[in-house]
Amino acid sequence: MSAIISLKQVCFSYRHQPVLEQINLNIDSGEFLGIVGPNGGGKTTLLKIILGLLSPTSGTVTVLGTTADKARTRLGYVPQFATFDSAFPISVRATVLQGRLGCATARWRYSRHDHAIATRVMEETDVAALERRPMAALSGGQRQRVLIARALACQPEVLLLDEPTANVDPDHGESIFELLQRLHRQMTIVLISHDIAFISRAVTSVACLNRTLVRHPVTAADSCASNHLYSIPVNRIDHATCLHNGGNE
Amino acid sequence: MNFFSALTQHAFLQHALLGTLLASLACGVIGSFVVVRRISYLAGGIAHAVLGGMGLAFFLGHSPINGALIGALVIAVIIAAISGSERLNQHEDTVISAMWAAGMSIGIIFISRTPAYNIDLISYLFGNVLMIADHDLWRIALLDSVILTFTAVCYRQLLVLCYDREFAGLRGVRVRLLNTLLLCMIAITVVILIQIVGLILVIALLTLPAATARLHAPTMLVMMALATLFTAVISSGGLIIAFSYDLPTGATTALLAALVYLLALALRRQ
Repeated sequence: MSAIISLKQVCFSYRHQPVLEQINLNIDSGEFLGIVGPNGGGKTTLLKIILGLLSPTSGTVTVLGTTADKARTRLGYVPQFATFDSAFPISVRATVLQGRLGCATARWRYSRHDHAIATRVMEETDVAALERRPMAALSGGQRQRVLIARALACQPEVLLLDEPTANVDPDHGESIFELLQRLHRQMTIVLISHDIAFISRAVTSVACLNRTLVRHPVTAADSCASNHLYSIPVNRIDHATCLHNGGNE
Repeated sequence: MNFFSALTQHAFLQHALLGTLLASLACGVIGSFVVVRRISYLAGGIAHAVLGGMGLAFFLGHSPINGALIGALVIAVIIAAISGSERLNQHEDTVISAMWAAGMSIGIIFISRTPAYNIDLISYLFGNVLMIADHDLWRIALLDSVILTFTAVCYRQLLVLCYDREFAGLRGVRVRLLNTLLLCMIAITVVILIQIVGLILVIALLTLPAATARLHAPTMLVMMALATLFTAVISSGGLIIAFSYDLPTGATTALLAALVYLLALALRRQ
C-alpha cells in the first residue's frame, strides 16, 4: 500500500496561536480514516490543509503525488452544511452539478455527460427523487446526502468529510454511515467527527487530533479518546460492531 | 392629465418609462446576487462613495454620470481587494463605512468648489427619471448588455461562488477574480440606477425587489426573472404615482419597493 496523502512535520498557526504542531500523517490508498478530537482541536484546519485551502506555516504536504494545490480538483470535499445559507434558492440537481465544475466538458453549460454523472451520483446517494426540490425544502440528512453527491460528482480519488452526522437525526446518521461504508469499496475516505461511537464503527483506523496527532488501530480508539484528547475520562465507547471492517485490503 | 394619455404625447415620459424598464433588467439580475450573497452593505458603500467620482467629474467639467461609472468601478476593485485580503478581512465593515463616508465627502467638497452650482447634481442624488435623454437610454442598454453577457457566460461559476465560495475554489474557479468582476457588475448597476432613483435610494431598488422575489423563488434563475419583473412593475408604478400626484419619482419608487416587500413578507407569514 502506498500513501496517497502524506503530511510531514506540518505546523499551522493562526495569528501566532498554534493550531497544529508537528503533524506526521500518511493516509494509504483504500483506507477509511477517522479523525476525532475536541472542538478547536484543529480537525477542520487539517482537512483544509490537505485540500490546499490553507497553507501550513511549516512542513510539507503531498497529495496524490503532487502538491495539495494541484491535487485539489481530484479530491471530493463535503463541508459542514451548518456554515451554508440554508434558504439559498438552488435545486438539488444544480447543487450536485457544482461538483462537475473544473471537470465540465462543455464550456458554457453543463454537458449531457455532466448531467448523466449527476444523475448517477444522486441515485448512489439516494437523492435522485428529490432532484427538482429546492435545497431549502430538505431535511438535514437529505442535505448531507446531496453534499456527498456533489463531492462524488467530480469523480474523486479521495473523499473528505467534515462532521457528516452533525445536524442529522440518528436514523439518517445511520443511513449516512451505511452509504459511506458502500463508498469505501470504491475510494479512500477521510472523515472528521467528534462522534467517537460513529467513527469507531465505520473506519479502518483512527487518528486523534488535539493540536498534535496520534494514530491508533481502530480497536484502541477508546484509550486515545480518554487519555490523549480529553483531560477527563470518557465513560465508555462501544466497539461492538467495529471488528468486521477492521482489516481492509 | 392622465398618465397614459400623457405618455402618448410626451417623449420625456416615454424615455422615462423605457429607462426604468431597461434598468429593471440589470437591477433584477445583479440585485439577486446582492441579496443571496448578503452584501447589500457593500453595495451601499459603492453606491454612496460614487459621489466622489461624480463630484470630481463635475468639478473638471465632465459628465457626472461618466465620473460615477469610473468612480464606481475603482471603488468596486478596492473593496474586492479588501474583502480578499486576510489582514483587512476582519475590518471589512468598517473599511467599507470609511470609504462610504470618504467618497461622499470628496464629492461634496468638489461640488462646493465648482463655481456654477448646478441643479442637475441634486437630481443625481435623489434621482429624476424624467430627465433621461436619448443618449442615456443607449448607455443603459449598453451597460445592460455587459451585465447580461457576463452573467450568462459565468452563471455556473457565479452560482457556486455565492453558494459555497470555498467549494468554488476547490473546483478551480478563480474566486478572487470572479468576485472582483461581480462587484464591478454591481458598480455598473448602481450607476444605471442612479438615473432612476438617485444614489441615495439605489440600495432600495437594488435589494428590495430581489428580496421580494426570494420569498417565492425556488431557484436563482426564477429569482432573477421575478426580481426583474418586480423592479419593472415597481419602478413604472412609482413613475405613474409621481406623475399623477406631482411627487419626486425616486422617492415614490423606493417607497413602493419597500411597501411591496413588507406586504409580501407579511403575507408569507400567514
